[in-house]
Amino acid sequence: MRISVKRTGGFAGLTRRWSVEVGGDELERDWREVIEACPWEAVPAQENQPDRFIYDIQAGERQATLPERELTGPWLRLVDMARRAAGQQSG
Amino acid sequence: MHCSIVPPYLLRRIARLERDSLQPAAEAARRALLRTAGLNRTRQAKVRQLSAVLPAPSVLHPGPEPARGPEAWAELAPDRQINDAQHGERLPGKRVRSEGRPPVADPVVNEAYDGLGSTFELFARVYGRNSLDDAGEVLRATVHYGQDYDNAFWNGTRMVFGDGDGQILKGFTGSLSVIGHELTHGVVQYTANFAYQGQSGALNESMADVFAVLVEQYALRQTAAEASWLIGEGLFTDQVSGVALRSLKEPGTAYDDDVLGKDPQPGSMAGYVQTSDDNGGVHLNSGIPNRAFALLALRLGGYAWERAGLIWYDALTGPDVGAQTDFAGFVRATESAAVKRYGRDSEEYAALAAAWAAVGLMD
Repeated sequence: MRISVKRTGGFAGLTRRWSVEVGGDELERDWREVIEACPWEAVPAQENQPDRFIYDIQAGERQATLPERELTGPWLRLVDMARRAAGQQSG
Repeated sequence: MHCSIVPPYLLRRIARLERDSLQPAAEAARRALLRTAGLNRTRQAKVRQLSAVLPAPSVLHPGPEPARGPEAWAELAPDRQINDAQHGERLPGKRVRSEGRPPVADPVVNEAYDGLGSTFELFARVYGRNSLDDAGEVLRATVHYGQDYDNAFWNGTRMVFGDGDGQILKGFTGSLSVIGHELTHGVVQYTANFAYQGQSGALNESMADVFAVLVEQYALRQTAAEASWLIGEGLFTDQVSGVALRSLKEPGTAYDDDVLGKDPQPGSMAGYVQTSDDNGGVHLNSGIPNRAFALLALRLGGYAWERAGLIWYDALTGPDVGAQTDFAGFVRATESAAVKRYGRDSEEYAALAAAWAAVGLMD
């Protein structure tokens, strides 16, 4: 499964991407629980605060866009894991 | 007279609440404050018009009423509070410097304190505005937010600065234009309150950039021709090929780097970016009104905060703009502001029309 995070906005307006391909065993062991814990269907639509980041998160077929303020709990864990894993995969 | 049941000082306290569970109450209080500020603004605008106060000597009207405003503006004074999040994400963090206190050991705290002061200076001395709400609101900043946090933002009541990631971006208090930018988001919130999405969001961003460069130019007493017109100069680490994050004079030229790519800002409507990223490209399409402002200021010459800045400030704080104003609406607001101040046959109005035409926003 491909898990990817695209972060846009922020004062600098720089787009950053982190993406990782996760195999079956690893998916079940490390990722499944946090992916299932994310409320993919219940992302609140609220206006972002000026210069805060916007996160576009994908895990396989599932996708969510959320303002930085909503990046808490399992969302934050998932993004942190994806960033760390992407850093390792790209060397 | 206030029409609100909750007194303003209490609204201010509620509006400042930063616990997530209290956000609905805080948002409601902020909206109420905005309404109150709007009423005050209308009154103040009337007072200002009656006293015909204009800082540019060329436009002072001789008459029996002496222009008393600017002398009073000289007495406006900021009230600053700097807090330190100590690399956590809880706001506001620990108070480390208050108004009138001497510098502390941490240079980041002092940069924030001085930057808030420079921003207050521009709005007070040039436009007669007493802080963000024009009623003396405390200027609040939190530094050292988060771990390797590569951003700075305005949360509705305070500006928040990260220290950068050290790889691409350095600490955000290092550039006065960043501080001017964040505080101007506060001014916008109390005035036009442009919704942070699409074209109105790009206008919100553009106002923040325009007054940010004016804060710098005013602090350095630079003319339009002398100024860099850059936002975030010196924020990139040595590893990045780029001079700054944005250029108002030449959008799209601030950086060109292997990793980051090229500065994607358009400088005219021909390059307008349709995207769902970044709240609808608010940091991208802001390049279009940014460039119109720089062109106007360069065409008029002299200090950009004087004639060009006054037209923009009048438009931002005037009756012709609101949350859903788009580019065309803002063009009309600046035209109406220029006509009011300088007349339709003026050099200023002609230069304004030429500037908007150059970015593709005029027939």
